[in-house]
Amino acid sequence: MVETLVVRFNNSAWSYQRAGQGQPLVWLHGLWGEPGWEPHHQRLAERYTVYAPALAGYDGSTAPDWLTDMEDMATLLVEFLEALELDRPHLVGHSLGGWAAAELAVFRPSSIRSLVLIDPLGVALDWTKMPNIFYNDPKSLPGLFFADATIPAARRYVPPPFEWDERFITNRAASARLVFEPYLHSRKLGVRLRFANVPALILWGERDALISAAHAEEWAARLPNTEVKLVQGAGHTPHVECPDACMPHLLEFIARATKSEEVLV
Amino acid sequence: MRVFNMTLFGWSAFPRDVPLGAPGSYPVNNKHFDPKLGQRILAEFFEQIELSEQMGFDGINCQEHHGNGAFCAFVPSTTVMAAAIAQRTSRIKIAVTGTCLPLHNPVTIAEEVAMVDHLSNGRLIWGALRGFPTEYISYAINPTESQGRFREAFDLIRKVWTTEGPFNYGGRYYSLRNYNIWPRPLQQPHPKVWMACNSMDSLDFAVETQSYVMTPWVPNKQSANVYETYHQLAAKRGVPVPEGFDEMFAGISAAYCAETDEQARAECEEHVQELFFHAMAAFDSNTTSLIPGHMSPKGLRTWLTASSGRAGQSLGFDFDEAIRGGNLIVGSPKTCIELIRRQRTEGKKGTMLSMFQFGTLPHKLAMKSIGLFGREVIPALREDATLRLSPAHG
Repeated sequence: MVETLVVRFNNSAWSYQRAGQGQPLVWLHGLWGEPGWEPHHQRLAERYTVYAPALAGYDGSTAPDWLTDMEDMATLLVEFLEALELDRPHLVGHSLGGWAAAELAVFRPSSIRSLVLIDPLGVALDWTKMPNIFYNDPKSLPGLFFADATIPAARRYVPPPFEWDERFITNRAASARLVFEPYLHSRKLGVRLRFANVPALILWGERDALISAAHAEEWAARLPNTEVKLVQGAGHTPHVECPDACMPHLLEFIARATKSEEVLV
Repeated sequence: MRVFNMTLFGWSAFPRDVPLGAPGSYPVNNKHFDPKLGQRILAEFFEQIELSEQMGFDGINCQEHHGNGAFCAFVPSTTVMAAAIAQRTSRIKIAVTGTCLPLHNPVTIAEEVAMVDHLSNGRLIWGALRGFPTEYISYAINPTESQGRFREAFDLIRKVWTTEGPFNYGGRYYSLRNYNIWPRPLQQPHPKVWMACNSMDSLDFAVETQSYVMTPWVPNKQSANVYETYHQLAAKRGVPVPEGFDEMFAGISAAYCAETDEQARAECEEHVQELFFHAMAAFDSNTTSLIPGHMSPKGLRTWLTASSGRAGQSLGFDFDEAIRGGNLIVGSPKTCIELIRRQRTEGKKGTMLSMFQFGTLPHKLAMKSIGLFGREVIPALREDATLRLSPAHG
């Protein structure tokens, strides 16, 4: 059963979905928020207790005045984990959520068990060459997030402009507030990634048109303990677009990270 | 009733290779900028400005635009243009309407406005606005911070003008250490301030800061609503309406005066169409409206519903409707007088910011229209007791 709950901490209130059993796993959504309880959540909930929060400013979660960038978001995320008293969860983040997860892993590596980043933003080889998601032909947006934008799920994540509802518009403004400038990257995160000493998996849609799969190697070179898997045929949202190619990598990695930890103990 | 010639410095040969308002239409590619044509446009506008002063206009105003976002206008820096106008005129008011506050260092704005105040011998009026959302993209200023930056910059600029002795300022977006302005403005405590108001929020901020109000391109009826709302908000807040508010209450229009109504329309209609085509594209295009933070979620949702049928097409423009609504003042001197009287009676306007050159209008016709307007319309307005308003000080 999926529960939708609210947790309050330090003047914030975050909405989150929870389901499943087993070790805690926190899933962080990408640029436009998560439309609902999705198949990738469900697949993980078969083995883990999945917590899927709406980040600050998205889908009813509050955003404090001082929130302006992803470091701030990671600060709130630490408080979120503490408020729920999660014992070293696995942390999975997609896109903007991957960026938030990486920021957290940099300054609290021991607070998480493993780290999975799916097409993360935050490190850019050359941001001036990335398409502008805040000023562009809005009809081109779905194509930046899905290799095949005609699949039904694409419309749920990135609707055509005349179908934008207040929820989508709000989430989009929440992203703009955080990542408009510097555009989709941090000038500091790349330098600090070496502190994120936690088993990490980088998953990348090999046809990502927003932030190319060439970035996967950049992350791998900077993170101390990481492996990389490319997802064939997928764009920026591989877990939605090609779940059967993407999710097994993720599940296998998390299981392995858990097991090697048990051996060490 | 005061009449300002609103100088657009619009480009007279607008390139048509990218449809305005379509994705990719902003900025207009500067390969289309012809420096020689630029020189001619400037020279013609300054002739029109000098004639306007001779013909008894009350003021000249100019506005800031970037990347040809609107009308391919020539003026990315209003203070530079206002300084130039100050040197070519001697009596007439000069209004910057206005500066896009969030795009600039507010201290630079405060200093330049103070300078131009001196250069113009205290003839300057300063206007503050937020600018087009596309301009935020170009300047890499987060559009979701637009309102916060606007309010803070406005506060800081007034502190810069009015604070005696060095001071510190610690804002969210802007900070100052051990600063005081030199030169201080000539007009004390500072030039009069016009604020562009097109929402309840901006209107309330104008009330809060006791600023004068200019409405954007809206019909008389709507401008009267803004006028009433300002007074209601002021009463609610318990703050006084600034002295001379009625005379300073301003609205935008386009004007063309000729010997007869028929001739006026025949001479200007295609050029007015062109102006509206540009204005609509700039204000109402999909790409512009969808920039995050520009509209509230509810406002954008409503806009999307309203425009879904048009699917990105520009709004149509109805010449007669624009005349009825008060956005257009076109006709014989007699008709112009009547239409301006309605700006006052129906629109509550005390100052008319009116474009006499819309962009493609031939210079000769613009000069003819300004001349005729000055000879026959302005004196009649002055003699009309119903249009006489108590002036704002300065």
